[in-house]
Amino acid sequence: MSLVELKNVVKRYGENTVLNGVSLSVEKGEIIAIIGRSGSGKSTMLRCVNGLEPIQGGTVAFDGTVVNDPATDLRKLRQHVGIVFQSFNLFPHLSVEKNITLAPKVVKGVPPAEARTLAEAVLRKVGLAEKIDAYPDQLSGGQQQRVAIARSLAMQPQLMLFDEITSALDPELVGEVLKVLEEVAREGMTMMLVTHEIGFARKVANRVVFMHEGKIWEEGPAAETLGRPHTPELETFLSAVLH
Amino acid sequence: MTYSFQFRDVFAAWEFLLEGLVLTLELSLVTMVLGLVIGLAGAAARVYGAPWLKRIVAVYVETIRNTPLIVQLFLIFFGLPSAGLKFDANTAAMIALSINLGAYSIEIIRAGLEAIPRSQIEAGQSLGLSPVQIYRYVIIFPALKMMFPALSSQFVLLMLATSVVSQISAQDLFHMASIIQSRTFRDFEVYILVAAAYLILALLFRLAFAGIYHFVFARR
Repeated sequence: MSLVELKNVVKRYGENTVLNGVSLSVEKGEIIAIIGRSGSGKSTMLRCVNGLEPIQGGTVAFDGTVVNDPATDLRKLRQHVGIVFQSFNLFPHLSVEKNITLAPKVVKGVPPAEARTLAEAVLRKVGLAEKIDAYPDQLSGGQQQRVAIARSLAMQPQLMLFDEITSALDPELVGEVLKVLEEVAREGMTMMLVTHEIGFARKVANRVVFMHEGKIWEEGPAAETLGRPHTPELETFLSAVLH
Repeated sequence: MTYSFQFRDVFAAWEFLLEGLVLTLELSLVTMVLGLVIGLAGAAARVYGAPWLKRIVAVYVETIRNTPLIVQLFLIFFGLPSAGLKFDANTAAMIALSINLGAYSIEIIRAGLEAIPRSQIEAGQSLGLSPVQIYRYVIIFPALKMMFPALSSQFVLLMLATSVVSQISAQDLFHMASIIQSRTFRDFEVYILVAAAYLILALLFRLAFAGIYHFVFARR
């Protein structure tokens, strides 16, 4: 059984169809890069996986649980699916430690001392151990995003979703975040990442999914798909982003 | 026009004034706590509640904000006994003031809640937090921080407005002033003194609120 299984997913905002029959399965340990023009539905697809976006047709399943089933306990499911956002979304009034330990403490009941150790561990992983007592507004964008990744990791998810996590960063800060991402990938995390970093996708992803007009237009092994696009749409897209 | 101030008789009745001051202070503090609780719960219902709940809260808020406090007070103290609900003056005063402040607090806190970006809520949801946990840990603090100046000035207004409770014979500062006035006939002196007392009280409250902001909110 695949860890993530999308079948014929349809998502509409009023008249506007954003996802038009998307099917995709992701195996445990796979790293999927989702690319495409803005408005192609890639972020929306990602947000369907943890139930942030209700869908109008098809099914989304995670680890055998149907996400779009009204009876599904989304809170429980989301403990296993981490997501990192483009705009970091750290809690501005909480220190780095509290940002990281909030959910382990109140959702999983981890005792405070243990939670602090956990925060230290995940911060070491993203290279920010010394920032444990800082507040988000004292950090650079790249550091904030690394804390957001650490916050997600602290829940020990089985799957991590990354929604254009370097798009809001100054160019010189992109590298440090991608480095952390690679580190997480190396540890065997299953990842779905929406990205504009084609070079990074080629290097880290097992599979690339190209979305166009609400559909999966083309998909396949990363190097092959990016190296020899089959459709003119992907070719056009790649030539636009690579130049 | 000459008037020679004579504060002696008025000062002689200082124990009355002090007693009234204590009740004014008590009423203000209790009402502020209750008003804040009503405000937090009501604003959550108004912004995140089911449609029927939103409507109930909206009706409450608009009814209270568009009728005079003294009418609300009289309804509770003189009206409700006809329906079998009888309160002593202090309790009636506390209820009326809390209901009144609650409505204004809801409206202020609501504005704070609506200013919290949707992305903060999504971040909380994505971490598996329940709606109540999101409200408590993610939303309340930044919302209160944002609305603190408006809220604290509403609280000071409330403290000043407690003077209407003298109308139902609750023995607050203003009521005591009237008693002293009727005994000494030193109207000018009494009301100067009372005005000064309210002024000092208001300034102390503002100082206290500034302190709370500084130590609780400004640091984060």
